[in-house]
Amino acid sequence: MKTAVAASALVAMIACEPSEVERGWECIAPANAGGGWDLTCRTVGRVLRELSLSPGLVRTSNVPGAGGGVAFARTVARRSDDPNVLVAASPATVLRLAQRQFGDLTENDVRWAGAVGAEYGVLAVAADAPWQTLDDLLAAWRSDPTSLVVSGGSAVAGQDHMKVLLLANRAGIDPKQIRYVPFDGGGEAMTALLGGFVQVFSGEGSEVEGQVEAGRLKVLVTLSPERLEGPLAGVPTAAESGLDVTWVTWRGFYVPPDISEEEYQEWVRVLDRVGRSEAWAEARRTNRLQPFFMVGDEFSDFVHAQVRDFQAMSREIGLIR
Amino acid sequence: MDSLRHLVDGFGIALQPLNVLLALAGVGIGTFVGMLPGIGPINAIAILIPVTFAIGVPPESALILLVGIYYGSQYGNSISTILLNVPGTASAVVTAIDGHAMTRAGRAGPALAASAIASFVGGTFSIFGLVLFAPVLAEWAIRFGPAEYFALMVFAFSALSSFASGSVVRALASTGFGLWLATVGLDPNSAIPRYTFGRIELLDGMDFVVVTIGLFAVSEVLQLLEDTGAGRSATALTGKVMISAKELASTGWTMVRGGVIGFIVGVLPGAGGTIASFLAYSTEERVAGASGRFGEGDIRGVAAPEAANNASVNGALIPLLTLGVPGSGTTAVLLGALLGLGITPGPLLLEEQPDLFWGLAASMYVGNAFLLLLNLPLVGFFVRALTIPRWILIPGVAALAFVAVYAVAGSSFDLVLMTLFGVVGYVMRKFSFPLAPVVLGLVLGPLMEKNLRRAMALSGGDWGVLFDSPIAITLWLLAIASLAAPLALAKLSPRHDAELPTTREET
Amino acid sequence: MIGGLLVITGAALALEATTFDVAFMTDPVGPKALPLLVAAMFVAGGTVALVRPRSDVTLPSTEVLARMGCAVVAFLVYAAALPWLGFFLSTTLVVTALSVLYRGPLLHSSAAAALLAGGLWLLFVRLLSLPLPIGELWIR
Repeated sequence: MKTAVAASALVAMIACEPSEVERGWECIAPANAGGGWDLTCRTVGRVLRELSLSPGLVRTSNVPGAGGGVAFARTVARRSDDPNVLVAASPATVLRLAQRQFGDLTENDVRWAGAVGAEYGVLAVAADAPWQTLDDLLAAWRSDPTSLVVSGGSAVAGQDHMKVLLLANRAGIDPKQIRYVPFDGGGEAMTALLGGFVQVFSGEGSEVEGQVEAGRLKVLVTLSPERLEGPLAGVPTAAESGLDVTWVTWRGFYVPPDISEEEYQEWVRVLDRVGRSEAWAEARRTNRLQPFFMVGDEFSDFVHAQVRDFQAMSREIGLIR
Repeated sequence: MDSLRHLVDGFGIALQPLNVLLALAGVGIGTFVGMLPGIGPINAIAILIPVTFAIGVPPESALILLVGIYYGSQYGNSISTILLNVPGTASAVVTAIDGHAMTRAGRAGPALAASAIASFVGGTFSIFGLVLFAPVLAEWAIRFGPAEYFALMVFAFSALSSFASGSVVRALASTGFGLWLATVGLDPNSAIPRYTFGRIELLDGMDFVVVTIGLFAVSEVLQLLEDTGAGRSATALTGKVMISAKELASTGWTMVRGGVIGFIVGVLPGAGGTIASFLAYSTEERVAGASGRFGEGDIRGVAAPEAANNASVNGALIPLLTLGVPGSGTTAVLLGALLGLGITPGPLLLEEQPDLFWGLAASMYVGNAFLLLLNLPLVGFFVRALTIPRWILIPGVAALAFVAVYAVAGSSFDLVLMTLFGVVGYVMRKFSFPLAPVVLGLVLGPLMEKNLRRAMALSGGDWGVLFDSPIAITLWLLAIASLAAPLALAKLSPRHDAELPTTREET
Repeated sequence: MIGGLLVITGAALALEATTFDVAFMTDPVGPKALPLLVAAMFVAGGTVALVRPRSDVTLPSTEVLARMGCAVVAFLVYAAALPWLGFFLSTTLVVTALSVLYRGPLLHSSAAAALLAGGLWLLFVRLLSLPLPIGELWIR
């Protein structure tokens, strides 16, 4: 009797499950569920469906490992001519490519399709810290570069570290003296700031919004070309302090290298439609992403330029030899 | 009693028909998926998130479903751990020790029942803790810096002796192995790869599902092969299927202690269920003293870690909901789900969306209760699964584990690693090297190392920082006491026993 | 014997650890510390095991060892065959092999294996929407 109930429950569960075995598009998120890439894939996938741009549901698969390396390697090796797959990417991927962390693979091993949203780097301090503006902070830093410690969610030589190094470099502080302590993700790094263990937090806008609204953190600068939308609209940009530093954490995609030119342009067209749509604008706001839109060759050139910049910076600072 | 009133409102939300249904469904599906060896709670939630999004219910309800899945998968994990010795998470490794021992002794039923009840008790205590102390604890958790975490890890490390099962030297070697496994991968403090042998798959380090399944499940396959070859038959199902009232009563305080430990440890981001389980087990073993048969099937060895790791789940929700900081792998996934649902956890969540918070808290209680109601009757059913002949059961479970790992990882590399670990695990068992310390090393290693290095980096090389704050000092003292206790007890007992015969002889 | 193995491993680990050179030092402890500690633990544990060996280790008979070797080979073959032969076939083959190793009757084993493979496919692909390989051999 019990077996019968269990068996029929099982059959019911199987029967009611919608079949997703259609040959639709696949979006690969090079990280586990819940992360930025995963969210990008799912959100964009949903918009694609809403706009009827994709044949059926867009499947998101997670291929975590090596900070995007495993997915990269696998796309190049096994799916180099598959026209139905998109892989989520961001400057984290590009930075690692620049630092040659993916073995022999380079940014030329895939085709960069486009980016539809971005976050910008920010530097935050405790709400009761003595510095009110970026200039105050930089002045204190210049007078004693080793007196301040920065926390960030990425590893040494990762995005959060690079942001600070870049800024310091342009502001005339010796980057080798900057003290950066990596934590396991932005959340923990921010907690370290709240607990008073570090003085500065380097991260992304969305990470700090909650704390800023609660009045526990001050964001001193955003590394964006213009001021941000949303709760951080009152934060000055680095340019306003005379420092030409931006850090765009774009959210975009690359596609396999050996697809035909026509198939590539099709992706570019699709991403273009998504980027301009109202559905995406709304999704972008819900996900607290800033407007950033670049597709096709323009985007490809942008990525290549980023790789060159990252390599130059990394070498300058001594992170790579 | 503002909180209490909110809680009552929360129950009002939680007991709405839709939410009740979702909680039930979540718990059921979660248990089923969590039972599959190779799919632990993190993967279960990750796999089922798209389903949650697709259903299109309001955020509170979606969250209730997710939390139900979380609880369910934790328990499902316990089922496969106790019955088959296939732990799907690092914290389940602790349950496996006595849990599987009980199964081998024919007492799988009471083990499963104890697990369910302990989980419920641990969960209940911690929900009240969550409700009453959330903001306070969040503030307290902030004061834990790298030095304090390091001290906590040292304290957890002192729990090692409870898992030594005889030879401390061997336990240390096992721990060393675990610590080494922890170093494999890209070092976050210096960005250089360690022991990766050029393989890109190892840049992230050893996945502990692969390690755990390999060391425990695959080695079990080999061990059972040896048993079959030697003609040793499977254990018969003796004893009652349900737990006796007396046995249950004996675990009462165990569950309370486990729940408290689990909750407190769970609040600290990064510490998590594993450390909670190890600490709870170790504490119980010390409290029980000579009367315990830990390692051979003491039911308290099941109750303690189960209560602790369920409690830590709720503990981990505190930093998540009040600060927006995910405290563990699973909460990180939950955070992603929350963001996808348009909810921003943070200090203002309590004030701006009290419905969400209290509705969630109430439904966690409801989910917890459902877990118990659903699973206790099924214990008999699960236990009967063990009577399937070995030549079907073991290859079936092995295939399931392999397929699960492959489906989630997508490459054969992990499978090869698993097999390798299986051989290593078998050899270790043969030469009496305990397996649990490997997991302890694997989990503690990164935490200890990272926090020590962070603390040193922050202090600029000053070792004194490790002993600076009251929290750190307390933890160090606890660690010393914890290490000294078994030695002290050992010194006391033989003298005590020796006195009795002498007195009798004299009279 | 195990002792010797441990000592050798410990030495190897230590050797490898000395190659962990960092260009940019951010913390005083450094990446070498823990690996060296572990190497020391291995060497210490190995030395103790060498000096005070346990004599109650019973190795299984050659026949059983051969079966276990077959099982290990089966697992490795499974790992290799999954993407190539495809899920259904490789699972059925390997599970049959394992069942036979456990003294299950051949016909029953293969039938059970096929059923299991089918059930697993249903579970993973249908219920959980996790893709399982169809096998490159067939796609070509």
